[in-house]
Amino acid sequence: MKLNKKFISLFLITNTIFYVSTLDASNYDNDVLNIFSKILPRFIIMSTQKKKIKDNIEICILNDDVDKLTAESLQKKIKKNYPDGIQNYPIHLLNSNYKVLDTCKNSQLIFLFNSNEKDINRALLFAQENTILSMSYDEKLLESGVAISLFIGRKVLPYINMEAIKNNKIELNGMLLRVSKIYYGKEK
Amino acid sequence: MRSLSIEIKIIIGIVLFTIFIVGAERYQLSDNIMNQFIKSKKSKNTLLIDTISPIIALNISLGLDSSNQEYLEQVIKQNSDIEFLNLTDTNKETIFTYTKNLKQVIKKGTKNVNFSSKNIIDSISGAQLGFIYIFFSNKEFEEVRKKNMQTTITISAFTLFLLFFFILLIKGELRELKNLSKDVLNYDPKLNNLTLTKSNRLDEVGVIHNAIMSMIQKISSHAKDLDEINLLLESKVKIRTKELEEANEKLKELSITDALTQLYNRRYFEKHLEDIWDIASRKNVQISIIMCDIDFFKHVNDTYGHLVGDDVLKKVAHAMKISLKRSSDFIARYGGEEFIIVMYDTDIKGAQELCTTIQSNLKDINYIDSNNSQIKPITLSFGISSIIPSTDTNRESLIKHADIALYRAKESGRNCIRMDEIV
Repeated sequence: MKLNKKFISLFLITNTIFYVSTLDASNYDNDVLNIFSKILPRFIIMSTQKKKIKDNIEICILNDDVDKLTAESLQKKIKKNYPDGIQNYPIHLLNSNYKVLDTCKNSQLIFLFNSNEKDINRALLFAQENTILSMSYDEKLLESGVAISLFIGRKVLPYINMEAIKNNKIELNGMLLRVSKIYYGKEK
Repeated sequence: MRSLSIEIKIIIGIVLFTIFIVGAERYQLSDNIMNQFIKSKKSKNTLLIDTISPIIALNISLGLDSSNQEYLEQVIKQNSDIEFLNLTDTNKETIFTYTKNLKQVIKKGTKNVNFSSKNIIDSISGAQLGFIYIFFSNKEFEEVRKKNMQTTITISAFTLFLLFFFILLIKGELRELKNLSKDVLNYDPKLNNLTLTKSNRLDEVGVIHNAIMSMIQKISSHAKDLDEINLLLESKVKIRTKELEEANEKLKELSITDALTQLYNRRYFEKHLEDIWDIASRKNVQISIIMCDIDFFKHVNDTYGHLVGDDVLKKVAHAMKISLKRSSDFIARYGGEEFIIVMYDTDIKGAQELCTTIQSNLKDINYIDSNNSQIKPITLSFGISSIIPSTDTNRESLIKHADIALYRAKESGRNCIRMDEIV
């Protein structure tokens, strides 16, 4: 009986850990996503990425399968906020898995949902090689080299990794810098 | 104050006036500077609202509402002159509002407040996102301006007061000079009526006062001397004039008198006859003339000498002179031993009576020679002529007729009276 009790407890704990880890992907704040949905196209328009626009503004949302629904939710929000695009540019949204980065080759911006470190680094290398502006939900990814995230403190601010921006050879509009917080790296 | 010279007082007055002018100019200058400050502040406010509105627009467009709030709070903190700020969305619903003084109701046109407003426009889409308006305070400038005005008014009032005081002071001194000049104008050296006393003042007024006083004392002293000299001169002139008058009288007497007999001479007789002729002619009055001659006078001269002859002449003249009864009767020595008498308003009879009187008086005279021996009595021959002067007659004719009568008296044996009336 005692063993059964121990087994049942272990089962419950394991299950809890499993659900927590699997539910982690869908644990994105709706308001924050809403802010991202507003920010994404504007960062393209207000940076040198604007020059890369051919016919459409192309935003690639990279996610693991577990975040697919959230990615779609973000897509919807962007379309809702910019139904006619921005500055007469229609917005083309790509939902891509970390495994198939090439689909994002012509994008001006890639948005990174959480993934494993390896995929993240690969995606960031890809962004650097193709001069694509990277933006992540998680500000911790700034440390890995993501260019932009959101600082969520007493207030919410765009969080800009100037070093990454510089490495990606992208320039931002000064006004964006005025409303953003600059990321100086973990050690700083 | 009275020891200060007028020159220094005038300089002080000019300095005070300059301070007054400079003070007014200073106020004008600082007021202009204040206006420039307020103008530049307005520009700054416009610049501020132009600067913050894109950021606000960006924050709104990015959905960073909390950032806007913090940003605006920071803006308010950095701009202490913001009295009121209001940010609204397109539906005019307030996103953010700030009021410095809750008790004060601020609206457009409130004193010492500038108003700036701007639409919040999305720079990407061009869409209006909201509206912001800010009231900026000019209080600090207005306070400086007010303080400046108070200082200027204080300085000006004080300066004007001092200026007025100095003007009164200078005017008072000029009045003293005016009074001094009045006293000097009224001063009469003869009356010596100046009642000035020595001034103790050390300024120009005192110097002028004392100088005039000293001058007047000198004038007074000289006037006294002059008066004495004048009096002396006047008395000398009087004496001289009297002497001159006497000399003139004597000269006149000499010119009309015969020195020996003291009777009038022939020249004066002619003048007298001319005068009396005119009067008688006007009044239609008769004139008689007696011409007489000492009988045998040449014999007296030849016998007893000229000195005795002269004495006879003197005595005869005297006897004739005392015989005249009226002041209008005139006697003159006509020639050597000839005499002539003019009688105004007298007929021949009257003349004859005078001749008789003369003859009588001649009898009383003692004639003595150089040896005191009595000589023969002296007699006279008389020729009388009488006329009422008119345009048909003349003086020469009258004399001629008297002379003719005298000639007849001589012819008749002398010591007698003959008449030759003119018809």
